[in-house]
Amino acid sequence: MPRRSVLILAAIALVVAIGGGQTWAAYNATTASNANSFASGTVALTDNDSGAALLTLATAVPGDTDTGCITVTYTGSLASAVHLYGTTSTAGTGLDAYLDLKITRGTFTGAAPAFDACTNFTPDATNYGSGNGVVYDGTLLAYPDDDYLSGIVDPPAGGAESWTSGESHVYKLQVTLRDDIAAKGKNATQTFTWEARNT
Amino acid sequence: MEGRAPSPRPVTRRARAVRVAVGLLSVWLLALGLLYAAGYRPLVVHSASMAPAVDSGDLVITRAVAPADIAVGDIVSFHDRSRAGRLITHRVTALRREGRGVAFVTRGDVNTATERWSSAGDAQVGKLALRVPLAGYAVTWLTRPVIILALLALVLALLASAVLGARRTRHVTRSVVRFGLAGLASAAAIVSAPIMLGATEGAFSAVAANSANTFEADTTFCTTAPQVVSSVADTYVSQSDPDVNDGADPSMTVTSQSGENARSLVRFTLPVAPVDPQCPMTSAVLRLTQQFSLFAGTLHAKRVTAPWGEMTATWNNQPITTDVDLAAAPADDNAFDVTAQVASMYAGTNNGFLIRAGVESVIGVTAYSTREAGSAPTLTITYG
Repeated sequence: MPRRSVLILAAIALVVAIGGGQTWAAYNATTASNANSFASGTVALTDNDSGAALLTLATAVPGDTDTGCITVTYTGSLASAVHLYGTTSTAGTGLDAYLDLKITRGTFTGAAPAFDACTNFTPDATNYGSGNGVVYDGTLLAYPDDDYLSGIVDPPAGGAESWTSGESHVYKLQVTLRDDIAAKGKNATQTFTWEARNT
Repeated sequence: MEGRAPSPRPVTRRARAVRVAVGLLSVWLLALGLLYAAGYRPLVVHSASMAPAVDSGDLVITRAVAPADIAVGDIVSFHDRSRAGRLITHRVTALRREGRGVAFVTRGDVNTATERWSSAGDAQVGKLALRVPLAGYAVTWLTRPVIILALLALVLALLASAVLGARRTRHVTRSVVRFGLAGLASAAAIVSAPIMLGATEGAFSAVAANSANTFEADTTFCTTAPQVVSSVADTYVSQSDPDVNDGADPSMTVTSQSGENARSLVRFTLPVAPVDPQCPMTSAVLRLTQQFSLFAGTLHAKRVTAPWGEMTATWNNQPITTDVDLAAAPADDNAFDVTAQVASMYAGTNNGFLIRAGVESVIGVTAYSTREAGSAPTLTITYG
């Protein structure tokens, strides 16, 4: 290859490379973190509900309440963070605004009862801001919707816990109908979700 | 020209080697640059949540496309807001146009959780164009700093020896300029490789969900039972005997016949409304006990707006009524929905009801029991 051609080629290449990078920048800023780590493993989260609903209120009047406990177990191999959020069915008529929801994290001391009983439930000893073990206390309407990022960090105070294989926690969910006549005849259907992502 | 003149001595092997190396590196740099200009970008995949479609250690080439050019099933690379902006490569499971932009739902093939994100219409999304299995490992190894430094050192060494060789050709300055440029191009090519090479992840996630939690509030929050009261005054007035009072009669009639019309009057003491705010009145029904009916038309129950006496009312002194909220019902129903009228009575004054034929010309007559007969008219009020 003649010397001059080589030099011209090199110069063109430099210009194109520098110019081309800007086209890309619109959607891409290189992330070089973990550049040399190749992750393999699994992230898996299970619960003990066997497809049954945790909470139910039928022909409820103000003050009516239902309580259920669910055990969430991490079975993946990669350490993960867990967030809690929910999905309120759009088919509902807005009862979620009149339902108070309280979620408490804890363990079963002694034998674990059948789903969804809370016998032997003991809240975490840590106060996450709303009492020992309480991770959420508010209306069902205000419970984070369908999004990991806006979901409740587990636990909500003291930094996200790193869930490791075999780790499990019991969540006690309690829902109570508010004393508000506007709730009359309304309904809501809710999915409660725990999402694990490797850290 | 002196520059075109053949060198006094043949080009050294070292110089030729430098030239070949620089040429190859420039081709590499040019190829990368052209790919970049066309919107392509090589990415090394660092985790396996898209396995086996895209696996850890693969090298993927993605192409920048407008969000509108993405379809469900495509594998895309995007900066995941919910993962601190890290570049994630996952499959599109659903999408929805939002104005000029697009809202995406993506998921790693082995994951059970999804990501939801949006892309503006003028933004770009990386779409998987080519996958080279395992090449990511090789590329990553080749772009390690120690390899880069070794390559740079090699180029410097070659340059140095070439310059030393060129010194003997008496074109020292020109050679240094040429070899300097060549060295710069080589160094740029070597350093550019790791800079241009991106990293992407197929981040892992999983969900545990409890669904179909159904909550339904009762249609009434009121536990107060309906209240039923019987009439405290009931009579009828007859056009054929316009000054006669029939307050003690065990019957009251509603007659429709020109010149002989009859109308019934009935009054209740309204029950005390419950104090529970959850218990507003939901209905009030006036019920009559029919003795006989020879009437096929519609009857009206109207709210009486002036006082009257059971033992004093006659056709000629009958109280005035209002058509507001009047209740109409077939004669055989023996019941009238007087909810609105009773609400007015609670809010204002209670002078009872007047029952008459809707049209007083079609011949017919209906008779009802009065309280004197032991089966008085009733008013049933329900709450909730």
